Amino acid sequence: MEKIEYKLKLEHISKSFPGVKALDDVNISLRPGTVHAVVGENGAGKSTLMKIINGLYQRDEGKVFLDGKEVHFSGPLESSEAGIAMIYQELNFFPELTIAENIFMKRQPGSAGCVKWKEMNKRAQEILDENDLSYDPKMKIRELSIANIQMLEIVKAVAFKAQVIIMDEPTSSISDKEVKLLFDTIERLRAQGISFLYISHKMEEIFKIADDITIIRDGKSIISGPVSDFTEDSIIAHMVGRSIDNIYPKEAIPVGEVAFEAKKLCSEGMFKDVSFQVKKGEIVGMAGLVGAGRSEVCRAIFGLDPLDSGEIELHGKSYTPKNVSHAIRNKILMITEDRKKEGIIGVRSCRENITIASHRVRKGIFMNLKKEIEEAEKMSDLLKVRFAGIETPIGSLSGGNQQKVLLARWLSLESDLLILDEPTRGIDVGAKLEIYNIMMDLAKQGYAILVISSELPELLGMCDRIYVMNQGYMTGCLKRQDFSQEKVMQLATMGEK
Amino acid sequence: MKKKVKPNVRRYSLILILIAMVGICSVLSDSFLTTTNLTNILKQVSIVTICAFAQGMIIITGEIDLSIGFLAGMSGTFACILYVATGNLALAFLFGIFLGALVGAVNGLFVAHFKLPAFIVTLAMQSVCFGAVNFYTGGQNVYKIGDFKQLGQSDLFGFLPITVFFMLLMLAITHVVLRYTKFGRYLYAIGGNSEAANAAGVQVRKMKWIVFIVSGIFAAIAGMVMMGRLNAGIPGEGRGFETDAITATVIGGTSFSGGAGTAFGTFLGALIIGVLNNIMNLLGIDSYVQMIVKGFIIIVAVLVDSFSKKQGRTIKIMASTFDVKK
Repeated sequence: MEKIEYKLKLEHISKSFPGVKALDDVNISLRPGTVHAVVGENGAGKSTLMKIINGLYQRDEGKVFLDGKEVHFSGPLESSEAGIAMIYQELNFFPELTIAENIFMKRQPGSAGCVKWKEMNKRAQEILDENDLSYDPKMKIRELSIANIQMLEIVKAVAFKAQVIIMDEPTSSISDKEVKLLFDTIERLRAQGISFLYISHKMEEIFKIADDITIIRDGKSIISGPVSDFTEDSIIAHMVGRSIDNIYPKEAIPVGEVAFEAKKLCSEGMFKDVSFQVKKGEIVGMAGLVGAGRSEVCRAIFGLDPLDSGEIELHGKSYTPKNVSHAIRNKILMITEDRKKEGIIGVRSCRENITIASHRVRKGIFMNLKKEIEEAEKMSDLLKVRFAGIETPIGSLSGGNQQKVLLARWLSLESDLLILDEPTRGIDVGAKLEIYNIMMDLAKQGYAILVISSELPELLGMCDRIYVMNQGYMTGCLKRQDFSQEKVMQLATMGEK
Repeated sequence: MKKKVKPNVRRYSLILILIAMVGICSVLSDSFLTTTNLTNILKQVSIVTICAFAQGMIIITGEIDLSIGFLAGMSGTFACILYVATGNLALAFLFGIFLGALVGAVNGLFVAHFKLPAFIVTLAMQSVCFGAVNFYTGGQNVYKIGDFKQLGQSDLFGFLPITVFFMLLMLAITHVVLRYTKFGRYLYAIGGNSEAANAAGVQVRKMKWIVFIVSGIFAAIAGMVMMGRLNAGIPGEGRGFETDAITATVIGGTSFSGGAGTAFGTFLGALIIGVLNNIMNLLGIDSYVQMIVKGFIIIVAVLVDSFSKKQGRTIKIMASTFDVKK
């Protein structure tokens, strides 16, 4: 049979939910021993598709073939028995149990309800050894990093005979070093004939790891083929449905006076002698590796983390960070890195999330409800937030829209310095573009903007100047005409082996 | 253009449940749907309901206050003692409120500043309150409290029992605080995500401190009204109010994980329990059996709540998957 040449084949998959057609005639063919990237904007239907493969959702139409045989899974248990393992974005594990217990969850060796601990630990050790993971199987899971747990999940899947591994944005919360480790593991397993479906936004990764690619847009599979047939631009064009020449809407605009200046900022064990300035109308980037101290500097300026010494001047006036509300009163605003943890108040409405810090919608201790609604409507229109209305809980929006709501929160206040920490992390290309446009608009209005980003192309594309940090020190500042990936990386890794 | 999302479907479902209960009860017992009986229900629930408003605000903030019950007993008893000694009702009342605020401030100090779990801190304060008042009184009730009883037994305008008045007053205050003040907004924000609230400039510690003080004041008022109603200062009274208050708030739709809940929901929750107690009394159901029934009703209420939340969640997930437009 010619169908055997595909490990997993999806034909004409359709799925509707009340009111929406989530998937519409999706086709994907996964060759054995390859990594097949599935890309698409948030909301394109990627997650639904994965859930249909592993049986969490039932398809309305279409067929799924595994090794050429049509399959029907009633749930994740059946699909995992058939050899399909799913590694979720949010990992499933038991932090207080040991590695061995997690690996053998629901498969513990033993009899009569008793676990054979020795055997379980021994077998876990074997599995770890086979995969060059040097942990003690008796270690508790909570002592591991997210990346390590992820690795463990993969190893576990393979140990229990998974042939197809589905990964949903596995690199969204791990560091660059850990990404490399992950990719090594994937490559090794691929060589053993295991196939991967790899969902991701990140172009870099797709080109690094994937063999084939399928692009999904609005629930339809737009195009499939070997990755080598695509370029970054063509992938983006297929994803958003229009071509993008230059995704960065950077314009040269006149720069004003110095709005913010930091001199010799220090924080014990975090950063030392950090000095920089941001002018009105300027977009200034902060580059560096994870842990270089960029977020820490900004968090200290915003009053979230301690600052031991140093001077800060705002329009020539001295400012000492005390706490966040003090920073806001002094017109220093910051969007924090971890949107879920320190950004959104998920259960509350967009309206409340927008106006929480705004003194404009209050009269003394009372809220001016009418004004509040007006303000929330106005700001969300301005930023083109897509939602059912301002009363929608912010937690139910996509990442890009959440980010826009958080921007709306600060844009309804005056600002002398707007700090954006990883403003486009985990959001899709379309929304990224919108965020860039907003940044450019703000710069034109005279905002002084400081951007931290781990995506270097983004900084190179949007900034007027880039400061580079390395191990807590500021190692250099590049002007736009001198920008290059190499120079930034050089400064970011100076003195490291 | 933009449709408004239906506000608080659950509140309407609570009203429907209450109406249905009243309908069923009036069939079950002739004496249920009489003015006297209905007034009685309101009187009976009023004191615990005042505590429930306090507990509601605390739970919305993501904390819990177990000191409420014995704090009510302590403040009420000491206020009685001061009244008996001075004959000044206003002074006694203010002193009771001061005690409530003081205990609330101690709770707040340890929870907000030293970041201890509220469950433990307020559990300890419960013991402190009970011990303090019984030590001072030697466990003896304070009788002959004279006009202090007006706080719990008089009628305003000839028809409105003062306990009910206090309950409605606290309802109004809680409603206004939660819905119309920035403090209320902050409470929801802190309960929803305290780190995010902090990063948005909310002074989380201060707000937590204040809400515990407010809770203490509410409990003290409940305690004084209760002593007036009992016509005595009884040190051990108030036992279990904190849990009854939790029950009312939870039935009233306050999320136990914080960030959601309303004053009216709590009020309806308290009324539902009140009607249930009342009808079981009217039907002559054994009081131990009543407790069993109540226990299961609580579980059913929470079950219904979690079920409706789960449904809401799947809808939400779907909405986020498809980025609802317009």
